[in-house]
Amino acid sequence: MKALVPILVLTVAAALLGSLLAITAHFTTPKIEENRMRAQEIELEGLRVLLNSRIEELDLTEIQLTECHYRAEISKTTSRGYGGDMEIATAFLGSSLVGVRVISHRETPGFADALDPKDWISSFGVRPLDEIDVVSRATITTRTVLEAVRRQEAQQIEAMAGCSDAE
Amino acid sequence: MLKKLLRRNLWSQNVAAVQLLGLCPLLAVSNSVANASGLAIASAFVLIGSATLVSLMRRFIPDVVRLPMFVLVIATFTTIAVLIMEAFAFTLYMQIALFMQIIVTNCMILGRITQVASQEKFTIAILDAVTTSIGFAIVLVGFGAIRELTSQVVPLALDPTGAFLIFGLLLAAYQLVDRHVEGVAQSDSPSQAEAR
Repeated sequence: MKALVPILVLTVAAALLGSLLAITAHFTTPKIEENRMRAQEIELEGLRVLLNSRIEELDLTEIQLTECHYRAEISKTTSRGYGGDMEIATAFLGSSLVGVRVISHRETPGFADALDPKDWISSFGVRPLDEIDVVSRATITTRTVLEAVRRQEAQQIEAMAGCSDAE
Repeated sequence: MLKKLLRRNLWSQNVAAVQLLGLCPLLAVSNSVANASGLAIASAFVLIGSATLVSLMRRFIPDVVRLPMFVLVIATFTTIAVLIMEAFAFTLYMQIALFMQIIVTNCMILGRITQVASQEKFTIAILDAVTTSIGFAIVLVGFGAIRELTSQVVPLALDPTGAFLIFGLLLAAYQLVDRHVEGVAQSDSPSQAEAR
């Protein structure tokens, strides 16, 4: 019976501390979700800004933008990264890649620095896709993004080919 | 009592500057005052919360489960700190998320819990946790301020290399000042110095 005391003490403590955590989570989860949604919206807004500035650079008219070859599109895809699923958004103007943002991920914070809009991920749409390589300190994370973008680009080129056939 | 604790935890036995505990987050997060302050507040919350609870429960904790119990308490307070910061200081949390989560493994916290909170009376445990937290915060925020200011002239200060170099120089400066203070104390009162 005496041997059970430590187990009992530990069990009671775990139950009490678990309850404390559950209460904290209950009050903070809605706010955390709201923060995450806002962060995702900021990433998507960054892509919209890139897309608009590309349209301005090319001086495209509204009529041209309705044409298949200049269709502005932001699409999302999900890929498995190092820590879990990553939601990746890509912006295309026709078949041309304009920019990429990771709008949600579960990668280790320090290793996910490459996904910051000021870091490695900003090279998409600026440099040709073939010239972009993975980052050695975050190989799996950046490879996941790179492969997802390549797939998206291939799909977009295929869609554009179909578009010219229809025309 | 308070004066003695302040002197010990802020200067002569400072956890960061003398015992060199918790250096991983200290070096990594001190690239700005804001980040350093965030981690200092979170560490203080975890240490004070854990010390309070452990000190209250110390009579009921069997020896064989002391360590698991301490880790359970520290992990709970760390998770609470993470949840609160993610909810109410999201931008700051995104900067220091990794180091927030590893507060649970900070030797400084486990050390104070095993050495003081689980052995001493409630008041002493709380005062020790508060003064230790202040001592850690002074080093962390002060180091962050020095790195941030130095980086205006020497950008290397924000890199890990710069962090090690500046911290080394600060420790050397601390030793110089400490020896000077000790020397003054000895010349003032040899008997007191002997007692020290």
